Amino acid sequence: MSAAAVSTTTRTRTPRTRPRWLRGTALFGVVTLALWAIVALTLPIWTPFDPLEAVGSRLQDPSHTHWMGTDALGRDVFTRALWGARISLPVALVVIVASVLIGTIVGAAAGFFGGWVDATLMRLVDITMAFPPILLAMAITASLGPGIGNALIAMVLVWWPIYARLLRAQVIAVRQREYVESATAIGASRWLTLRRYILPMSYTPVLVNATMDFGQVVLLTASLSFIGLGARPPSAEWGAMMVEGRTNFYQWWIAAAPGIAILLVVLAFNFISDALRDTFDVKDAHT
Amino acid sequence: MIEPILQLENLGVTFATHAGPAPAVRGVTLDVYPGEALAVVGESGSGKSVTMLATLGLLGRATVTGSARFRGTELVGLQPSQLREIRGAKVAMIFQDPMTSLNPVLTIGRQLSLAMRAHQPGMSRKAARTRAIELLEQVAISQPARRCDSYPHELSGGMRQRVMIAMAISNEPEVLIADEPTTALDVTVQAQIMELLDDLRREHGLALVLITHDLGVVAGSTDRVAVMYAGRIVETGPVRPLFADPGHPYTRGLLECLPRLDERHEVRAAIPGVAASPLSLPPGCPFSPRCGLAQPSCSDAEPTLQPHGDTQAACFVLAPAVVSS
Amino acid sequence: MSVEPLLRVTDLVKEFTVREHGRPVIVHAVSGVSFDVMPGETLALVGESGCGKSTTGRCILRLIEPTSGGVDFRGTNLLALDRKQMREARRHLQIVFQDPQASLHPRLTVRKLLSEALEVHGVDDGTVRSRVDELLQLVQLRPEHLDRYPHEFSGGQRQRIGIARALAISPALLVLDEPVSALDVSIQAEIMRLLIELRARLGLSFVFIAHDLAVVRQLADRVAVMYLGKIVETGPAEVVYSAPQHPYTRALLSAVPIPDPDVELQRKRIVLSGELPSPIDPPSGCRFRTRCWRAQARCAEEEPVLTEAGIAAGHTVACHFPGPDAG
Repeated sequence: MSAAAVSTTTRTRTPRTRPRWLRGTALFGVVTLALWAIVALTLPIWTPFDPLEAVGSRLQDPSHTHWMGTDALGRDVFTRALWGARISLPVALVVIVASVLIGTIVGAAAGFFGGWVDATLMRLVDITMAFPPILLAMAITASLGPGIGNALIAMVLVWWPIYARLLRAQVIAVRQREYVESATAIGASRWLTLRRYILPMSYTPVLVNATMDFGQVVLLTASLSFIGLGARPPSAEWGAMMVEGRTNFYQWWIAAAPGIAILLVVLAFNFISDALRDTFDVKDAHT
Repeated sequence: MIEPILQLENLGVTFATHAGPAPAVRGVTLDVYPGEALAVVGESGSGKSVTMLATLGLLGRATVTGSARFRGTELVGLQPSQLREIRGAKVAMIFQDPMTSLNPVLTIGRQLSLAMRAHQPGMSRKAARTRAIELLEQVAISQPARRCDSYPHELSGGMRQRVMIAMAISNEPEVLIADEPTTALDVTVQAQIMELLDDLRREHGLALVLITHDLGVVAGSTDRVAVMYAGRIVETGPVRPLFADPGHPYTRGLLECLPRLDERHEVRAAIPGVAASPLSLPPGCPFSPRCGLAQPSCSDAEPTLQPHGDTQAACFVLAPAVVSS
Repeated sequence: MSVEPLLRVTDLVKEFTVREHGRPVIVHAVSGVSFDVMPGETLALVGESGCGKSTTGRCILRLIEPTSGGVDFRGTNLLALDRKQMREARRHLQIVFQDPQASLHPRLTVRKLLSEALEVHGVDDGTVRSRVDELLQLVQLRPEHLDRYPHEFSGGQRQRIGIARALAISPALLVLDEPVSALDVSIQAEIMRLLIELRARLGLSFVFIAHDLAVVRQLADRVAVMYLGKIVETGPAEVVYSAPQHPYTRALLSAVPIPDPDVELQRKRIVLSGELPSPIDPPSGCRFRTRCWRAQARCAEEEPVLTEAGIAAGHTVACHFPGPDAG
């Protein structure tokens, strides 16, 4: 059996190295996000001020006590900016997770079964996607009534078609691959084929997109609140804070604080999704 | 003595990879004579394609050392503008997959025309088209005038490869390098293409360098052979002595493991192990881990080409160095 | 006393509908193919690209649904089975694919790849474990390979994994779709050797699909030559190789290069003219007539059927003018 022994030498895997600059931004993204998450979770314990109470004189410039000054009702802007995370981050999480779930079910069904199932579901997707997202979100929120909960529902309804389309395209591509054929060949049921073969090899674009979309949802939440359809005063939500900032234009800190917060969060998500995409490109090279 | 038309001397190519430098070609010395058909044989990873790509300056990021001369002109490190005059005109190359080497958005006629006018700037569009039709006829494409206006995807694999050949000979080159030209083609199409290359070679006095792993094609279509393994030539010589009495265990192994159409051997001998990778070359002779004739001394140093009958082989055991007293 | 064929394919037809310039056209991939495979026999389906051999192989296993025709395995009509029954039937018919990289799920370990078929068919855990060990031995892989992923192996090793996977539930018939074409020449010999060994040891029947006639000669009992969706010649391997009757078979054999310069020098090579016609619009009558040097008017009018060639038993050819060239 010596021929066999020699012939089965395994090649060592060459380690994948990511370009260095990308590791930097991804790291920034992860750290930033982690910090925001910690802030959001632990804030009630150590909050510098009460976000809803007047704690100083109104419209004060940034100072030692009030890092980002105070707003028109004398509330500490910096504290409120921190508290905004407790709304935006969980909302974004719920919206993304729900959209991905719905989108995956619809997209997988359409891609896997084809035929009239595909046609019907995709028409539904097309119709939903034909509306400009903000308009659709506005219409839904307007009919359901304002408030962050309804805004969340509206955003899920607007967002799921994107994932449905993405997943469907992937399922259709993966379905034709030879290893999926081999699943059928050994007698795997359609459900097993979908579960073990098709879905795990289809989700990577969805994952990359979802990470990037976190930032977009944060923006959309803020936008909805900005036009009065999301969070209601007096809650400390970034978009709502921006409305005040617009009214009190010359007190730049009132808009700047939530603005910087949004910027940091969205940037963090973008960097993370970039790094994810690059990782998956390398890994999927093996498929 | 006839002068070689293409001379490679100690050519080396190293790629920078994440896992360190990979020496894909490690000192190849090869002569190509006018009008001959030379085969460069090896399996994947032997460096056979890389050698010729490096000669024509077609490698992107790689370090090329040594020398490659066309009629005395050094090609390694040559100015791009001067290299372009030789490449495509005097030394032409065709590749394995004609689908990816033809531009999918240009018609055949246009691509042929471009190939010609790049090297003959005075040629008018009309003259180029006439010549293109002539060339397509030469490579036995039916309805050449109609084909001129077709796109690559409308043609079969065999036809596309003929178009590639037409492009390659359009500027009357002296050397044609064919990199696995028929590997992706059916065997009957392969027979057509090899016959075409043979006819063209005779008509135009072309030297053909055929890069291939198929020893059957080598036996039928070439005069001389160079066998490559792990980036070096391990055996070279005229085709009949090389097949009749190979001087290198790798050549022997290759010949023994090939199923022959005219024989029914149920069990062919195989070459154990995996091909040596440029990133992890064994010490001494790179073939020694897989070699049935290996001695302990084979791991000490790498053998050089020594005479073995009518061929030259790099093997301490089969072609020991002749010690002159 | 005659033995029943293990597999009987009758008039298998597969037509694909594709869109060409926006209009649907029919690709006649397989146009009436019939053959038998006896228990323990190896039938080679040979032909070049576009002849329909791979499609035929997949139709046998219903990996592609045939348009019409019969596929009987041990007397059972596979095409009449419902989804669940077909899954059951798959215990007995398996496939080894051409591309060892593309045919193994990249995210499953070798252990999972080998045990999956057994699990799907309800084999208990204990038996699964011992069977997996058995399979490793059969294909000469080692226990430490079990927890690795396909991309960690070489092409030859991956093909071994593929073979082991196909053999897991002990099928009686293996369809091998160009199992060595994607491998380096020195590895091809290894895998062929393995297949020949396994065939003897396990009493397998093969439908061996290939384009390389030299490879096929090593293990075929019978050969069926396909051209543009039809079988043009079929018979015992040695007879087809030594006395081919159909012009296409003759051209095919003459085109295969032999690694021996002296032999090559002596050979008279038949070089076909023209190109393979499109399967969307195959030639009338005999499909090979557009490239055949013996073609007459009759060949365009009347399609030849497979008839006894009169050389040996079981050797049939579909040609109006079969036989060696005159002179």
